[in-house]
Amino acid sequence: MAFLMAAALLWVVGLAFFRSHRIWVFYFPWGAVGLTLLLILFLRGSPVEYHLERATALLLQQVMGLLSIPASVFDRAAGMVLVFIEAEKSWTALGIDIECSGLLESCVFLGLVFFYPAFSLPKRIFYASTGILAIYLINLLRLCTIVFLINACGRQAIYLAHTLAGRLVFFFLIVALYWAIFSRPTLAALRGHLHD
Amino acid sequence: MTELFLERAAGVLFFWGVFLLAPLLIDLSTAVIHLAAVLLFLSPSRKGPAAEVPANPPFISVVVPVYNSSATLYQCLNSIVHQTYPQNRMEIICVDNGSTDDSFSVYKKFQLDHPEAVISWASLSRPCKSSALNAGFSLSRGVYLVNVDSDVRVEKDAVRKMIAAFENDPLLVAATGEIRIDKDLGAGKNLIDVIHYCEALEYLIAFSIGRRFQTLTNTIFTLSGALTAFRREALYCSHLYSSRTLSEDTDLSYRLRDARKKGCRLGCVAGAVAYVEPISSLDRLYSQRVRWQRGELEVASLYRWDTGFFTALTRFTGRILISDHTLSLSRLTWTFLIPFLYLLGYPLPLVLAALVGLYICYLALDFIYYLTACRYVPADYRTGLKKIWWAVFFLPVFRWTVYWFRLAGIILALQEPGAWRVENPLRKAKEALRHLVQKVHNPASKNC
Repeated sequence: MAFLMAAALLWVVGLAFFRSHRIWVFYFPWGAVGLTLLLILFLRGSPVEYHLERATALLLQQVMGLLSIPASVFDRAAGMVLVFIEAEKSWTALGIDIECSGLLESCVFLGLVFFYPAFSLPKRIFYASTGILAIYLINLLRLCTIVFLINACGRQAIYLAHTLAGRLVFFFLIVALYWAIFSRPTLAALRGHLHD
Repeated sequence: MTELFLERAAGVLFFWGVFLLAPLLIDLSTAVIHLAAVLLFLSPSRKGPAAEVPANPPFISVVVPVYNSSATLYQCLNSIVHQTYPQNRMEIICVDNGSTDDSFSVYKKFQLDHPEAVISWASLSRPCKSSALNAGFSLSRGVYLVNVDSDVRVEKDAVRKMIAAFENDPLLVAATGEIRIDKDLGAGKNLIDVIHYCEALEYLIAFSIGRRFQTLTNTIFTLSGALTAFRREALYCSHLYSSRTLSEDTDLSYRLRDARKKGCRLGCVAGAVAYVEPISSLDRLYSQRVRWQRGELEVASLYRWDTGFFTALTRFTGRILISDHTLSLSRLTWTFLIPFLYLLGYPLPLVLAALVGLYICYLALDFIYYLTACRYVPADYRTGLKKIWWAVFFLPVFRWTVYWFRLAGIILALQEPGAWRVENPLRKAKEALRHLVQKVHNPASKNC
């Protein structure tokens, strides 16, 4: 914890230094990357991670229920989902941990949105909250894709479903989100500057 | 065991490195399309007879904007008067825009040395390249207008090839030449030489493959300011160059696209070569790439690129913006997060293997580009390129460095007013730190 506090202090000092001297080229990466790393370090193993994994597993179970794919969650192991494999008529367990809960991607997004130069504070807050919600839903869609593929193709599809198919779905939608939240407002802001 | 390790490393790379791999995937898909199109439709073996200018060639005007160009102006003008295009069908107009060096003396010497050349000089009081070019065009009489940067050396057939392309293609309204780096390839091995070689390879790939593909599909993004020719009426219909953005050539290319909508074309004339000076320092490279990135965003913003993601995906400019802006943001954080995975429990060799895998992917792409691009250059230039084949290993690192410079361009576009040259942020930070240390050691000095 002492290490974390020291790192946070160093980060704040760096931010103040770059901001006061208007060195924006370093201010933005220092702020965005620093906030992301600090958030990950603070949230890893925290109740936030525990509840996020639990909620994701429960929601995944509900969505699978809608798709008539049998799935159930463990009461004492947050984030663990049992999924029925139709192709093999057996069950397999999927663990939703920090990697699969969308927590890391949310931290990356928060780091960027809080330091990207194009936004006012109210916009930052708006984009941060809608963005986090969107990332959560996109991640849920990724997990559904993985479970759907495993259910249909069996255990041998786990690597492909997890590393490639699910990730591609996630990546594509995240890029769409980043376009809407970062690129479009950037172009609008620049157009405003040029017209001024 | 090794197989399992490699599989896990690939897993880390594909799962966590997706945002770093994404620009590569876009480059790769673009490369496949570019290479297939270029190899299929523009294969060197398919080259037909070279287009020629008519027996009575049209009168043309060459406009050279001058700004503190005393070191390069003579060589530039010399390369223009030694063109194989008939000199009596060509005028040269130099337009100074606020030079503070002895560019005019160089011009006078050149005029005395070449009394046969039809050459004139005009002066503007303030530095503005767009205004200089526009002033030159308004003084010109040519049917075709060519602009040549004052730090450029034009190969002797370049102008003839460009005018021939216009004369043989009535739909062509503007064309850029092939730009190469003026460097003795393979002569030096210092860091700056390696940077120059990487720059030479970057230009080679951009013009021998990228611009050829864009010509084929009529999607030229930027008519290079170093050497471009226009049909007079098309240029005037586009309202000439504008200084509203830092990328006046991209801006003009966009406006000329209105002409394209009427069935006209923009293109790159293969073999019309102009050599530009290599970048003199990393500072200059930083400044140049910040300006390019900023210019690209500014121009795109003026042409209402605030469309939806899927619309953007279907359009050439949209895909460039997704690659150069949208993905560059996530790439920023993930560059630091991948090594950080070690702290999250991933074994260090696995993380390192994933990073090496990333480098190998980019390297393979650059080698494919290099080998293909070499097919499209003359034998003497190819000999030089072969001498620097090893520089391809540095190309991914060069591109990675340029990525950070371009990211700075994005940030500065939103934070600071536009400027042709920007301050090195490292030097600025060092200076600020020095002041801070001084202040801490000697608080009384703050009033000095």
